[in-house]
Amino acid sequence: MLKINQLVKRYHQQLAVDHVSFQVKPGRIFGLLGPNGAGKSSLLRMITGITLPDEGEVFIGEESFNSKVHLGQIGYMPEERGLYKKMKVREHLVYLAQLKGLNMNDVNQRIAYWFDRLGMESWTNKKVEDLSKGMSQKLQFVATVLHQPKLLILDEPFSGLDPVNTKIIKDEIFELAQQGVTIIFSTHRMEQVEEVCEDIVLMHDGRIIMEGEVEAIKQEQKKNHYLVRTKNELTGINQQIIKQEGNEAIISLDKEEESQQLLNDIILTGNPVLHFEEILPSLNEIFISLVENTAVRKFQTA
Amino acid sequence: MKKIRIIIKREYLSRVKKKSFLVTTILLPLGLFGLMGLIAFFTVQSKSDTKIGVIDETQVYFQEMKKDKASFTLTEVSLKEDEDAAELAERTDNDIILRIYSSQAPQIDSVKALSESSISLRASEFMDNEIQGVYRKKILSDAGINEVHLDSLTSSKVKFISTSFEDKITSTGTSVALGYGMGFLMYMLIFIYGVGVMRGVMEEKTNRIAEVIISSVNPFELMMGKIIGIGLVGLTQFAIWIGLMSTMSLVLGAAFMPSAEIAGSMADPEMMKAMSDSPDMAMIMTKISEINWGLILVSFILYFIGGYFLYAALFAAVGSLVNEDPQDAQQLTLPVTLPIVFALVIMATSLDDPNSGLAVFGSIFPLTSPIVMLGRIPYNPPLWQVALSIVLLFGTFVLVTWVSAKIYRTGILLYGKKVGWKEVIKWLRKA
Repeated sequence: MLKINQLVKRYHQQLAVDHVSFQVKPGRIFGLLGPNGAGKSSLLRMITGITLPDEGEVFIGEESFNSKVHLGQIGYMPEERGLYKKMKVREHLVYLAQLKGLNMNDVNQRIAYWFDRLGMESWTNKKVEDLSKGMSQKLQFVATVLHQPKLLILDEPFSGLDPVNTKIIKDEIFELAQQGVTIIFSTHRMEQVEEVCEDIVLMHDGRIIMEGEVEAIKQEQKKNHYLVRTKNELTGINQQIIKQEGNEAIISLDKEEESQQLLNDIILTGNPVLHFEEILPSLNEIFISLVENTAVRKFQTA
Repeated sequence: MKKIRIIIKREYLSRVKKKSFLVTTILLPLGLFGLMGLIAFFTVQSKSDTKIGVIDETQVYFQEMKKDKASFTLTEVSLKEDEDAAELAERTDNDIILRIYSSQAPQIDSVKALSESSISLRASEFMDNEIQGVYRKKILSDAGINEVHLDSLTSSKVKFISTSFEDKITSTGTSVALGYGMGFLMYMLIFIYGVGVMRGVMEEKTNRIAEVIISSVNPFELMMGKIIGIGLVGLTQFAIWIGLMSTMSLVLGAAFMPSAEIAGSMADPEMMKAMSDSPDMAMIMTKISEINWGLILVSFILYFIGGYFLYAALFAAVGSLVNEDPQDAQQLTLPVTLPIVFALVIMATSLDDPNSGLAVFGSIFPLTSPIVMLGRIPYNPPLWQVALSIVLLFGTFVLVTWVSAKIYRTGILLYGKKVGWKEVIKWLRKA
């Protein structure tokens, strides 16, 4: 659906985006991760045609990006988003939809659909400035998807949302993905990505430092730690116990294949096994260790 | 183009539907007219009679003075023994005591007007005029010039008219008033609506709506949509004002003219007659009818379009650079507001000498021409100057819009960073 090739964006002397390439498969939820200032927003602005890349190219489907054709197929919710305060809710939606090229029939129909779906009927004639933060976030979400984009780009969609509204929006994102919409989800909150995304790209200092499917990355980055809970405190094994608390212990192995041996050894101690689990690292941990590594490298080369 | 239309529509309607638009466009002029009407009404009503008691030591001046003119009544009084002016005024029921001194009648020495409070300008002017008039008349008749000659001297029939070679009347008070009026109106319009554009852009930036919109339309469309939309609001307001003014002056004219005429004729039929007979008045009348209103309207609209777009684009660029801090705006707007103020100053000075070097330069230089040239238009400036100034204005407007769009495109998406003109120039070099 989306392919970007060697994108570069410079601000003065600084490289905000440094030769970034990746592909997003149709109908997938794709996570664009990275700390603040990693270059995510600059990258998204190039994908949405707001700024032009200094080098490289963006492809939508098979075609090179063309704002006349593709703007209508993209829904973009920027991180810095706002609304005209003095406009009324419905009026505002109509305005944004018209700018996307929708005709009034479609606009009315879809506003009715979304108002019904998200329980917003009573807002129609409210002024935007009278909405709570959660309400205006919902409104922005509706404005972003109203023209039925094929590619939906959400930059920090949950910032400032309470858990209830987060869940509502998250469910809508899943629903849209089900319908075949390709979704790019940009955030610095790793735990959200784990719940939502299938593929991710991790950016740091304008470069991709890791990419792939979430599961595969976790497998690749795991440290072969195992959590064991036994009836009594675990003793009498040769493997390295890195943390022990009461009847729970975390054991570090050199290789994945040694897990069978470990379980066997524990059973042989005669201590009944209640729980045995491989510990996979969270994206947050992976991210922090990767960023620390690059920071160390940077420090050393500097 | 369709998107620009949608933007224009929103910008236009969201402003026209505001209560403040209704207030400034309709209620304000109505209020002003009402106030002016009231003032006119009260000045007509409140012409209180001023009674002047004259102590005439020359024995001749009082006889020659008009006894009852406008709202002044003159009576001759004389001081009793041991009486001062205040007591005299009280006894004779006069507001002012006018004392004409003479050491050797009928020669006049000096004149002094006394009253309890300070004397109104009108009253002192009236007395001064009367005394001077009688004095002059006396000198002339003493020199042997008779009444007939005197009359023809006071109401001279020689008209002085200055015209261009094509016999179009030029350079009179009417031109000054018209030129100044139009130049100032243009100044106000450019300022009010230019700043309106800037505030609109700032609102979009601080509200963080800009990026949302720019993901649907390109920044140039957004900027032009706003400029055109607000420009149309300006034209609408202007049209409503013109309409209101013409109806109001018709209504007011109908309501007040008869009473004003009656008041005027009661006050001084001679003066009214003199006024309509006077060559000045006739000249102003012919002047007004000889003014090429069509040319003025066309040039006003052309210069409004050129000047407004030029400055609105600059103001939009400035607005895109401003962050939350309104003090930034002040610093950044200075280079834009300065030429407008200069233009007004040049326009005002060039009315004295509409073909001076400064005036010609100011009316051709595109940043000042919309205001300065309008000031010169009633003086029929050479056509090549007008043509050159319009061509330059529209050329500059295209160039400035192009540059502004570049600044705007970058500025509108730049959050939380203070930008100076130095940095802007860097962007432009790069782009």
